[in-house]
Amino acid sequence: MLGLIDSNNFYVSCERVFDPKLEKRPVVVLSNNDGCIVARSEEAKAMGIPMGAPYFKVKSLLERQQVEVLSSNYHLYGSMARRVVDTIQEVVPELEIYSVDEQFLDFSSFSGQDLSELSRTLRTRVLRHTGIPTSIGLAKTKTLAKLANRLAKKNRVHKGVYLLEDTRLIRKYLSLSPVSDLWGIGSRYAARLAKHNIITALDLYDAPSMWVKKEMTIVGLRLWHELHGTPCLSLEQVQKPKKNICTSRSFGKLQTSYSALSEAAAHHASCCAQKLREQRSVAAFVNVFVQTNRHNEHHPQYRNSFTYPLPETTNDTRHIVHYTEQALQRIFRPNFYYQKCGVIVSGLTPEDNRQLALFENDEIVQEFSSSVAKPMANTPCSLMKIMDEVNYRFGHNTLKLASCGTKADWHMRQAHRSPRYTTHWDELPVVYCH
Amino acid sequence: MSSQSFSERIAQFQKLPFLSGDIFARDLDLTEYVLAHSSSCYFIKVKGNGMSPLNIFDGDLLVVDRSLSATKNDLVIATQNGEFLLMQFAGQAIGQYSFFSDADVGNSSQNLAPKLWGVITHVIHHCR
Repeated sequence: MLGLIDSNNFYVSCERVFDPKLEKRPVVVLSNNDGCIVARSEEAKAMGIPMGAPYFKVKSLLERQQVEVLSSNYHLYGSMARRVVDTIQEVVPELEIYSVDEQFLDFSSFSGQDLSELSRTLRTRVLRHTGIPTSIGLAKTKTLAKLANRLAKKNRVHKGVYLLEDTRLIRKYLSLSPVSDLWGIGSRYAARLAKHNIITALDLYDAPSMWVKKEMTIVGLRLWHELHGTPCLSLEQVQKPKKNICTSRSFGKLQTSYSALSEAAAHHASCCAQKLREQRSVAAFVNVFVQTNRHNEHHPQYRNSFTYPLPETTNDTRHIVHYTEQALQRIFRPNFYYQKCGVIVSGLTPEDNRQLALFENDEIVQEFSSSVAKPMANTPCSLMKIMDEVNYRFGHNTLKLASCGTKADWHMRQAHRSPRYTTHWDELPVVYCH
Repeated sequence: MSSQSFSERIAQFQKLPFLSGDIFARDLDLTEYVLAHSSSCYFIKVKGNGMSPLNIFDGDLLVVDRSLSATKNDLVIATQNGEFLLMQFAGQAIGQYSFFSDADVGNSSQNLAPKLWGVITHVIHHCR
């Protein structure tokens, strides 16, 4: 038996743990740069505020309805997500972290136990330890667990836990769900299914397996088996290393100067390098892209990108930043209002079977004595190790390259961000004792 | 001392058996002592001296564990009317929590009952 545990309105719930004023009030959380709505409390959903709505479009509505508006606070959400996972793992050790607020649970070592009861205990425990309400769907496969989870969340009588096992009930709920609601079915695939008169999930369930295999490829067949209770998607307990890593951000306000773009690009390049080291990969290419705001008709438009092949594969921040700058110099044009820039590292391979270049230079000392930071891809770099360790212990960006800048004028707009209650000493929650 | 250049010092630093486990022993870690259960423990800062009779002062750092059940006389953090409150747990009335605090004397009737947020396990006080 598998389970899917999902944190309800996760971002809003995180905010409520540390600000009790938000309880029972309509709350929305905005995306990066306060762009659009990415999370809503139940109260906000009931008011008909749509998910994904651009903030500027609904701003007056939100004000009229006295909705609490918050910028996203990723330090807080990341810290709470870790606490939720740790708490779950104390009860159910085998799990797959599917997203920041969803985990698949493997109950195979709990045979003979009442899993609904166990799940209710788990739910109470997570709520108590972290303040985050969750819903748990239980079923034989991931696809059905996802459906069960939605039922657990939707219908209050289930009290947040729903076990979907009975074939009659499975058929009933599948008949009520459009096939596009199923996990992994995108709108394009749904359109293809519609041509064959497969509209509800039950239509797919009832189709003969041979036909599905012939018409819908292996993806459809896998889904068909999942619906019939044969697991085809296993739990991925170890996260697969990514094939490429992208860090990009829209600017808080439009930027025109090379220095601002170069600082932002250096910052993104540093993030990419750190992520590479985290997953023990090295990159072969670095790509830099810049773009203006295409929604702004009054400004001239420009977008471009450049890919620089690295002379030696690397995950050293200094080298990646160096080549990022080289690439940026080739695509930067003055007199444009840039809205976004980003860095992508690709051609990733594991760090331990890295190809050595013919003339590798491991004299790291030279880099300090020479005034120009010459790119020297390589050396199992103890400096990078120290940098990661310092940043882990004392906070992100404690140690960084000077090229990332210190003023960070290009940073995100986060006008309504709450304090980072669990990750920054000077932003702790406060109890007033008068 | 300062005759060494920066690069020389870095080079020397790198020759040290840095973090070499079989030579050095690990010192005591205060977080182990204070955070018995790190995923359910939170830090909260105290503002004001209203709880000085309970030896909790302005600027103190509270370690609050949400996993614990409150027992009589425990110091706890509760929420009421959208605020955090520091209270001493007065014991369990039937089925619900009851609290003692200076804050709810006088205006208790229309207020919602306080809800338990977590139990204070340590108070970290700066002496200077």
